[in-house]
Amino acid sequence: MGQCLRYQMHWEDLEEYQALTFLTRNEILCIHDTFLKLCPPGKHYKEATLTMDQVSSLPALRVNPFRDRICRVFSHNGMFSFEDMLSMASVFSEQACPSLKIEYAFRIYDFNENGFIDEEDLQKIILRLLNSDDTSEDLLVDLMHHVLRESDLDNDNMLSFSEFEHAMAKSPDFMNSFRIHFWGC
Amino acid sequence: MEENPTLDSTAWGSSNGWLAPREARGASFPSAGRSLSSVLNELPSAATLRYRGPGVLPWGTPEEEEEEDGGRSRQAFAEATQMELQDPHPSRELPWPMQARRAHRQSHARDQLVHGSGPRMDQLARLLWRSKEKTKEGLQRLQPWAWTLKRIGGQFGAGTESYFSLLRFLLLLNVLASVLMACMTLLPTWLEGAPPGPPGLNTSSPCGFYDPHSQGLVTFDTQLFNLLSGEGYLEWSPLFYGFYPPCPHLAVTYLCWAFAVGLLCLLFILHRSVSGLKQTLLAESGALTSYSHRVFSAWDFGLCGDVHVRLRQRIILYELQVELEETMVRRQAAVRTLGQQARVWSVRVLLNLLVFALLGAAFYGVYWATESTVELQETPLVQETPLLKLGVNYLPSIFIAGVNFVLPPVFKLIAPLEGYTRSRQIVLILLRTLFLRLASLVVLLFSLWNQITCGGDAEAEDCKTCGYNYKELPCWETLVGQEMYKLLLFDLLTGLAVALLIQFPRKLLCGLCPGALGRLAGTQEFQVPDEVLGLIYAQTVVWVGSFFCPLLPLLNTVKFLLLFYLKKLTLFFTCSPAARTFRASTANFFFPLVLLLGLAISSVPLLYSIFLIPPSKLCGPFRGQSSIWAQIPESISSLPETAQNFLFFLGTQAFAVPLLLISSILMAYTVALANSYGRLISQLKRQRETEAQNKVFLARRAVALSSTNPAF
Repeated sequence: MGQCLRYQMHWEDLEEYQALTFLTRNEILCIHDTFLKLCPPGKHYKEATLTMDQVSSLPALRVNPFRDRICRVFSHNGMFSFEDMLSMASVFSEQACPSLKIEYAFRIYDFNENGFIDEEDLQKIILRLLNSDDTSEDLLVDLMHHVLRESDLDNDNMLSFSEFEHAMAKSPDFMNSFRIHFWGC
Repeated sequence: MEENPTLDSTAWGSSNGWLAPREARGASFPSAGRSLSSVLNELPSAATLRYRGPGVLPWGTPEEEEEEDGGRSRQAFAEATQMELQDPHPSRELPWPMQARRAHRQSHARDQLVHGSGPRMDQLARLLWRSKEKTKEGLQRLQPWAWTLKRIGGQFGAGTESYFSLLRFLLLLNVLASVLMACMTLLPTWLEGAPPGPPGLNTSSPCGFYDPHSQGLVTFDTQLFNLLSGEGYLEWSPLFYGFYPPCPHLAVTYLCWAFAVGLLCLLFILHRSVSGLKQTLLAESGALTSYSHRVFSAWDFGLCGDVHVRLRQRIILYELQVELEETMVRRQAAVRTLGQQARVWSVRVLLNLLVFALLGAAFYGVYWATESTVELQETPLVQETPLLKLGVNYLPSIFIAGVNFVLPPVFKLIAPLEGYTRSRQIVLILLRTLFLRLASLVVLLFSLWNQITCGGDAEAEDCKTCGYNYKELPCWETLVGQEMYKLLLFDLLTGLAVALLIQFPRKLLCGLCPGALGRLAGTQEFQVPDEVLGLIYAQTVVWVGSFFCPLLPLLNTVKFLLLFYLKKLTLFFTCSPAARTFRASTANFFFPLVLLLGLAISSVPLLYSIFLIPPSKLCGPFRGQSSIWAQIPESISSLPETAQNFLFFLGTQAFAVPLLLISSILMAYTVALANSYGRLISQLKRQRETEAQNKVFLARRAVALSSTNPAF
């Protein structure tokens, strides 16, 4: 623990981040504060990195059943730089465009990272959502069967990106639920 | 250049132990060919997965493949994909790492500099877009309690947040109405000198006398009584219609204020419901993709309290089970025999009759309460005890509140017996409760109308001289205003009473009870639909009453402010998240629609009073006129000639009929357009399915060919 060197963010950097992400000025400064609280001492915020555990334990992600996937998708080489955190917050912000959210949702839900959401992924998603060890096998199989029947248009028992996109673009609640407001400040 | 072996089926087959063996997967040919998924991954629609920015591996490649030539050919492959992707998007919409987006933005800016900034229209469009973004951001920052709402959404879900968002919206409407009122009614009243006092006993007129001020020494409890029922010194005050002097300017602005407030509210509500409508219409045939939606958008990523996670998981399990159960019920309903169907329908008819009977009894109770208030007040027993007098005065409000308290749980008990699916039951309960609330208000207004106009009979004994029942109600507008004022106060008092006397003690006491009973009795939920209906009812009361009681929007602003903090406190202190979540998208569409219904209902008594009931002769800004609206033609005749002609033209048939024709044509055109779009959508859906089948067929062929001919 300990704090990074407390550098005020330069105005040009703030402007650039505002142009490159969907975050507002206040949100960027808020994330900056959070990052400074967590990063190792003695480093400039642009060079410091956080581990996946540190990011997983942020209040916003601590109770999320998919936090390990989120960290894996947004990190590079297992570490989070400040810009990675900004990218992550941008995707989850209220103003982000649907295509971006759907893209990253697909990556998050693709547990085995083979480019498709197949039955194994679906099973993991449902188990994570329910987080109970006594979910009946029937319920799982039933649900998987229903989801695939609805969204798998080419009958290959997996959801490709375009099928996922097609299903989520019609979901009115997807944009509302794929949103994180606070990042620990 | 052709595929490198790193992307073939062996690498994937080994990491995907779960791939179901299918003939086209090619997993049985470990050394040759590619699998179906590798072929499908090369399609243009997966381009964003393949190219994730410079220097980043494409999505779906195992990271252990670090050989030199593998790396190089992968890079070439990635670059080939990059060429495919056209980037007309702004940099922040690209799903790349920050560094890549920065480079893209810089190269874009350099391109622009090199080729000269684009045509004027582009620049203008971009400038307009930037300024629109800035204004939207600025307006968002102006909204109060934004942080509180986010906190509520984070802990209790989006449904509860939508209740508080609606409360904030209604607060805004009331504030606007109050500001307009101050400018258009209060200001003109004092502009022409202090308004005159009440007519008192001395004035003699064919329409009786009107003496609102009670004589003599006023005791404290009479003062309290006057405050609570709007009589005494409050009756002749800016609070009620009767106070305002009969100046022509005031009359015109008073009327215009009523219409302006109605129009403003309509515009704001429409604006709010349009965005909700867009979201809901987009989810065409929601029943067909509900499972995918439930699984992928089940977890609200914004949830961030440790406390309620376990509950949230239980809710999701519950919802999924309900969904499966509903499918089963639907399937069962489809195969019902004729006998079973007849039984189910007869049960439904009986239960509906029961519901109607209950509603009828409730409405009769409200009607009786309003009719008998006047008689009961004459009895000597009531005159002596002030508490009883207050109770009799509040009898209509008590009845309405009682009915709204007792009947909805009965509806909740009846609904499961009808054999509908769970979601339909919820909709039915909501509709019945909504009908109950709004119709009880309508019944109250109807019985008031009955009293004022002697049952609509202009030739009745009491109403012949003055057009309204002048003996009992010398100033009928003030009476209506008083009833609405009492409804508002009583609503606030019941809200406070329920919170302080039921919810807090229940949480405190049952927290002390041991075991399961304590937990059961102690968990309260914030029932979003019931609370929202209460809000809409309160706002409808204000809309009905604001013409007759101009300060009512101001009082309602104070009431809603109190309500916001009270509900917030109750929520955080006593409630846990509701077991049945109300989806935010339904909330955003349904609630403004019901608000519109409330506005429509409130406009009926208002328009009726303005056009058809003669105003009181002894009070108000319209005294002496034949109708309230009659002031407008008089003031129009004082306008210049051209303005008069224009306004009269607007009222003639030569304007109304073409307007009607054009509106009908436009509406028919829009309906036809919507129909053709619907047909186009189903056609495109069918085409899409055929194309998907084509794609799979071709991919399988490619795999089969590549497995037989290793040269590919």
